[in-house]
Amino acid sequence: MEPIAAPMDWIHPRSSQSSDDFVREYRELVFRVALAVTGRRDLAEDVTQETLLRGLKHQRKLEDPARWLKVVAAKRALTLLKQKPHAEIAERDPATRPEESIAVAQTLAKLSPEHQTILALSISGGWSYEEIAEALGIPAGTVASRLHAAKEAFRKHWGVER
Amino acid sequence: MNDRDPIEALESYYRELGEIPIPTLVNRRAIHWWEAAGGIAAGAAAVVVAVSICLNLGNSGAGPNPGLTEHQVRMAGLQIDALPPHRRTQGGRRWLV
Repeated sequence: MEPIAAPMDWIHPRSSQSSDDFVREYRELVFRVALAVTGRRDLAEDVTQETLLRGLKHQRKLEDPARWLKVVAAKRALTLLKQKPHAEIAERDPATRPEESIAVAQTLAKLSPEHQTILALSISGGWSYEEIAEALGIPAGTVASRLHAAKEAFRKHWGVER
Repeated sequence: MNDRDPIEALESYYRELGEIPIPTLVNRRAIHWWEAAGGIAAGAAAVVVAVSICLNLGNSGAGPNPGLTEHQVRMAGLQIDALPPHRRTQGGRRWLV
């Protein structure tokens, strides 16, 4: 049986969950958010690692770890999108990419990072408007209009791209 | 495919992304990174303290020169009481030099 290391337990003695369990429980959730927003496995892995490490630091203070981690991952992924040049983002994960997906990735890369992120969170993750608002730092009341604008922008560029 | 609805294509794209397997290394990388960070920090602190001690002890004729606190010395695993009293206390705090 694989021994379960708990390197953080001595730092957070009141935490009821070992760091290994914490990572095991939330890593897929965080990775999926990061991958949806960035579209790249390497960036998603970086975001996942950073987010889980931040989560471990605050582990015992988190009332809703899943929600906290989702929002932090989305914010970090959005920051990465803003830092990366569009050409690099357009090279989304090529592992299993058919032609249409390449076109989608190239179209997404023409959108603003905020529009890319809101599309990813709303379409791929089933996020509530409140969660999206928190991740993007916008009022919940404006999420619907932003999402509509993002879809319109995607349609417009998709038409050009095709 | 030219007639494909763009939002449908987008949904299909995200579904495809959702099928990419999660990397099994993420767990270990995160834990190992954290452990390594802690180890590196502790190791770096010990090296800095040890080097500083060597430099300060070798500079004993230079007069008062606040160096390392008792806490730093203890962190380095050294025994402060082994030092002469005049090197332990200065200005209400404990200094090595």
